[in-house]
Amino acid sequence: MKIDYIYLKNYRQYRETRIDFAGSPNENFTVIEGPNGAGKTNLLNAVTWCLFGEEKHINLIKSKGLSIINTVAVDQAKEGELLSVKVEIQFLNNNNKRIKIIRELKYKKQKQTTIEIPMAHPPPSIIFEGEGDWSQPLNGEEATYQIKNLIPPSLEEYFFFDGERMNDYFRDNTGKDIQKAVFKISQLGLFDELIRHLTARKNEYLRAAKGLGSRGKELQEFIELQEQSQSSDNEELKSLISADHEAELLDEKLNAQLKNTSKEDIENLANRREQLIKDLLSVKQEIKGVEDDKLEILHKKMATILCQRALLETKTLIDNSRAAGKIPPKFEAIKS
Amino acid sequence: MKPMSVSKRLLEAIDKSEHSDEIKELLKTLLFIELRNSERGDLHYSEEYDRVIKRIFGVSLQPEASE
Repeated sequence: MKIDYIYLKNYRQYRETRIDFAGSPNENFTVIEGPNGAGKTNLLNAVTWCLFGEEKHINLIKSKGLSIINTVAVDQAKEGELLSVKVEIQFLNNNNKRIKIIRELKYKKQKQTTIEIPMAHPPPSIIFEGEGDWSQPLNGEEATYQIKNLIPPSLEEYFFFDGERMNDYFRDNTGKDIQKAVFKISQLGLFDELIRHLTARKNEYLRAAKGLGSRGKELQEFIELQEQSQSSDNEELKSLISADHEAELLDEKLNAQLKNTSKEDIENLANRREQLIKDLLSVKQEIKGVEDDKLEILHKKMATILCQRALLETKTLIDNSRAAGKIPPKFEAIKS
Repeated sequence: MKPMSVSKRLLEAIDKSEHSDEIKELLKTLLFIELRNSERGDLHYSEEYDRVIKRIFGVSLQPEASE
């Protein structure tokens, strides 16, 4: 959250001023500078007055007895005229939505120099920018509550830093206060309490459990047995679930195939199957015929096959003897 | 007056943690109790803690009285 602008009217030395703070990504730093008494510290006071109804940076010696209202405005006002002191701060939250906080104090001029003293802490009002438009203003206690949620008073010094009081910021107490406040706003303290309380409950349970004695031990053993049994049951269940899943997948696959098959296709397939069986029988018969033929040939040629080697050797012997002139030549050779 | 709420960042951190859903619910509920108690200045927590634990886990951690 960052400040978009501060508007001041009749607040101490400011008659009517609006200060716009740099907000662009490249120019996001605003310097407030001026001579003594220009109103630098009172700008910080205006912020804390607007937010918390209190001027936290006031210089007590310089401002003692001085009213918050601009004295020039009081001097120039006529008797009975209404005057108001107003500080308006507009913030931009992280979503770039506007949050406007206003505190206004009304005075009535009575005589030439005296004014009616109004209430000490006038209520602030706060308006949030919604999606489309501004919300209804929240006033009084509800506004104070919302402002404290946005900027806890204990963190004020952290955000609105007065350089002139540099030494004060490094006091031990201030550092600890800021640490406490950061802890509170971040809600980390809730976790501390949660852990402390849970630990306390655990210790109490353990103390009570010790009092159970042997019964506690029996119960513990019973629980362990139950856990073991549950573990094995779980394993079995897992395998059954897996098998069931596989069966479901197969069923789905078969159903899908069946859905895609027409009656005609089934008849064709049956006919083809019948034809294939017939063809198979025919081939088997042919094979049998060939085998029968083979056997018959074997029977007929058996003597030749068995005597083949002896015949070849005899022929070789005759050829060799003829070549050696031991037996007469072939008839054809004599004739030629 | 609107009640304060537990920081979204804390709740998101719990949601992103690797704890079981029951533990996450327990932590978030107990944070709400702690926040409410801190606002009220209420120091009593035991019964509320026991009730939340019983509701989330379905069992009472409070040991039964021995016979």
